[in-house]
Amino acid sequence: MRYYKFQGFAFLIPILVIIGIFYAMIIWDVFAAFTHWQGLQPTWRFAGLYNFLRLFQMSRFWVNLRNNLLWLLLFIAPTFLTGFVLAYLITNLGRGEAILRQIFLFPMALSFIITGVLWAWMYDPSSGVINSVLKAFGFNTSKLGWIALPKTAIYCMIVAAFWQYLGFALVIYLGAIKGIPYEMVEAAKVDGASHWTVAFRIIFPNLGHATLICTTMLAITTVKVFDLVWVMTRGGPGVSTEILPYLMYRLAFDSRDLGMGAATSIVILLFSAAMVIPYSLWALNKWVRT
Amino acid sequence: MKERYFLLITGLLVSILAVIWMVPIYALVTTSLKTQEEVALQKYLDLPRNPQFSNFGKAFNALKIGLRNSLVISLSATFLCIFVGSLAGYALTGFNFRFATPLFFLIVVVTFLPYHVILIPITQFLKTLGLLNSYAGLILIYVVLNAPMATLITGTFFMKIPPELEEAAILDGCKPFRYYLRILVPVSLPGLISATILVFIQIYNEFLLGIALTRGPDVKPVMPFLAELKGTQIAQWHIQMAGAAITSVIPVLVFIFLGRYFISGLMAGYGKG
Amino acid sequence: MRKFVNLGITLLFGVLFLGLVGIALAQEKENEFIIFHYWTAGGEKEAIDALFELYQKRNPGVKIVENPVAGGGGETMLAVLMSNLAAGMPPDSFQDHQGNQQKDYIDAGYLEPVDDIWAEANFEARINPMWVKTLKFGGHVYSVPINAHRTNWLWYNKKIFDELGIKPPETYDELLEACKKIKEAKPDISPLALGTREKVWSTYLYDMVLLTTGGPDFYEQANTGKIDFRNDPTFRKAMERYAALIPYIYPWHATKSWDEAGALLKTGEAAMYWMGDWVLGYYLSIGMQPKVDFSATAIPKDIWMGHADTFPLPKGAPHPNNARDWIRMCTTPEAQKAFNLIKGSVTIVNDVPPDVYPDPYRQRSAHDLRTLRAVCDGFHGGMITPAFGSELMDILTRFLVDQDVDAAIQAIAEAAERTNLAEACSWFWEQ
Repeated sequence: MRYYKFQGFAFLIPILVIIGIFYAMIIWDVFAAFTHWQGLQPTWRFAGLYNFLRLFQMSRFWVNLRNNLLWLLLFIAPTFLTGFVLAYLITNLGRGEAILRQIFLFPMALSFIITGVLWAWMYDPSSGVINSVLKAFGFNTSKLGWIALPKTAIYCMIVAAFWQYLGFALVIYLGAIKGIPYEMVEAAKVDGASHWTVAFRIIFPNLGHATLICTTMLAITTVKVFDLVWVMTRGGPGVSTEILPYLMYRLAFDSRDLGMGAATSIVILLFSAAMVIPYSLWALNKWVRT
Repeated sequence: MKERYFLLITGLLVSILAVIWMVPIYALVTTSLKTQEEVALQKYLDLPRNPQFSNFGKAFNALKIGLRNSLVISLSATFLCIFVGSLAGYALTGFNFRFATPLFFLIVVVTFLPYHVILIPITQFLKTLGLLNSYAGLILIYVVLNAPMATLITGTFFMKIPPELEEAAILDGCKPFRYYLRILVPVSLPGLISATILVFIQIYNEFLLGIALTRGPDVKPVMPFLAELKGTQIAQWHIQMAGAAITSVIPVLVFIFLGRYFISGLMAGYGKG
Repeated sequence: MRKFVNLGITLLFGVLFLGLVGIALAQEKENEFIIFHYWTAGGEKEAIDALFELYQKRNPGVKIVENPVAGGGGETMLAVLMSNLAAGMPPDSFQDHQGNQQKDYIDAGYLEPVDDIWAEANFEARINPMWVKTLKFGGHVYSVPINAHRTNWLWYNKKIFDELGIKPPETYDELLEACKKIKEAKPDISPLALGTREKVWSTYLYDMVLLTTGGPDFYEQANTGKIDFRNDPTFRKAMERYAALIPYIYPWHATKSWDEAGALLKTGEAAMYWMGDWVLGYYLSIGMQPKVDFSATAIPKDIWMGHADTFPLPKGAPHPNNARDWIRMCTTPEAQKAFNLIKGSVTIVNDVPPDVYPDPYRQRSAHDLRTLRAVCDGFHGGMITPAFGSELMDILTRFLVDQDVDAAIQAIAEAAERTNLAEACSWFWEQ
């Protein structure tokens, strides 16, 4: 294919243009972060690290950071692991894959502005679905506030996002499992391997690319759950469920402080880059380059 | 015997999980059929006393322009994203360019930016091009925002393709675009489909740009219309939930349509029985 | 496979074609009136449609392009407006509030004065002086208000009140008394409903305690940052009064939107609700009967508190004559009446008699507005700055959980300093 390198390069031109546009806007954003842009009028007065310093001095910022980390830790791993296990089980069953796929994928057809409301109703402490069902089974639900209590609110939201995105992980793994050579599994089974071994010692390690995609997509989602936070709790009670993208929006638009909003977005980018690049390098080396 | 036992437990487990998964949808459907008075009672487990199918009529009336617009915009933008993205993904993984890895990372980093903060430059960009309040403008922006993610997903899938396939194609005198079209795409269909699903969802469910870059209902996508259904100083949840059911039909149809191509692919793998 | 490619190419051409059509659509048509608002469904939509009808009659050749921007009671609209204005594409008008909510646009140079329209219509003399104070900046006015929503209403379940023999409260002390009585007699229900899924409603109670503890002058000073939050004894007393109410407030308020909280009066889980007059329309639509199932009282009874929706004139509006005529139209009693009868608020002009309203609450609101002292509510009314308001909401929703008065006072003081509240509100006192 080396002879056709020129053609290959031509394939890259559209994405290069797109990335160019994108980075031009990011540069705008970087500039804005270093200005005194407070208020509605574009103001390009240089401010040095003013916005960043103010941002780091807000205790609210650190709560947000902690919340983002919670999302990373508690959303990504359970989602892709459950997705894999479910994909394995469904593949094993041999039948019903089509309909099961649609059932688990359906939540993704709903916008976050709807799922936020639906799950607020699920978690409604007086007559929401969860507490009603628990009451029917005889549990005392008077202390179960779910999203009304700062301590439990964020975990409730992560469950809602898990509900929405499990289908995606499932689909990725269903597709990837189809690429596993049949003989590999057969050989293991003939040797008497249990399902657990087959799944986790043989299949899973060979799905490195699928896992890489899942974890990256889910990590990107933790930055995009802005709509869910906005509809379900507006970041409340207090700021217990607020995450950095939402803080960015509130600073930029609600507080009319675009300088700080831009600074927050730069922090998000740096944070993500610091996370993603080493992880992808490691994952690429380990799983994909055969 | 043990195997059958395992299959039985699995079947049961998966079915129960599927039922649990549908429970929030149950709340959606029952609310969409209630009257405003019933919704105010906030008993989300209860069934509607007198199903109000007219809610769907009202919702559809309000949404129909948006549905048309979203179909045009989402389908076109998704197709372009996947096309551009998979070409780029192929270029980055199949040609051993030295700058491939750093470029790949530049692309990945960009997907992590919440776009709300660059709303102003986006608006100015489209205004300069004269594309505000037009299909082309919205499609362009959605492609710009989502093609990097498409590149990421497809590129990662392409990395898994054994190089022998490519070498065989070269030996046969196959030019890159033909290889892409005739071999690469059909072989990585499950990966492409997953990318298509994700990109389509991101574009279809997007809300802020749909409002910010349009004026009036001519090209406004369906999500802004859906958000309007509830009202600001009133609360028409029942109409909005009916609307949510209606708007979810399009993605579901897309999922079903794409699902047909999910099984195909040249690798005879484990899941194919 | 070939089918797929064909589909793709067809789509591509379709897109290009539609794109060209789109460009044609995007050209500014000559005679239009572009307006942004967030009255998107039901009664509120009918109200703005009534205004559009009136306008169309006055200007038959103009095409009205309405741009409803749903989402969060104006949050989304701010983002959309900001990007449109920054890109140099103002609409012909948009829905705004007053005070500090409007000041940001003025400071950025995005609005044009409409002093002449006010003078023509003799507007200043026809409205409560409080509106003039919150709409005049440096001697100029930039918008016309179309309605007046009263927010110091306490709605209550009439049946419970009759059963327990409670007199509708008209002061804070009476309110606290009522809460205690209800809690004693019916421990299973919450005396006071509240919904803080949208956090802004926590500031409504804040406004109430400020107003009832220190009176209207103190209220205005507190909200414009003119007091020393940390050390002012009246402020501390107000916060303690807020804290005293918390045990009687519906505990799961963080999960309820304003309408779901209001509906608690219907489900029997709460007895009273502190909310603006738009909840009346909601109660009627869910089958509650005024004076039978529910009623309302004003606290304090000698003050009218609320906010108005206004239509400003953007600078560089694409169709300035159409915009000015819209604003002119909104000063007329005819337009005010047409809008407010449907909307559920009252007219801001005093020359529409109160008896045009079908319900006793709006009759009283209109009557009170022309006779009593009035104040603007904190967040929607623009007494506080949006930046401070944003932080205040976080502090108050936290306060509702931990009931820590000292921490709240400290946080409020810090927020006021951080957002330069006093300086930002100085325009209010320089009238």
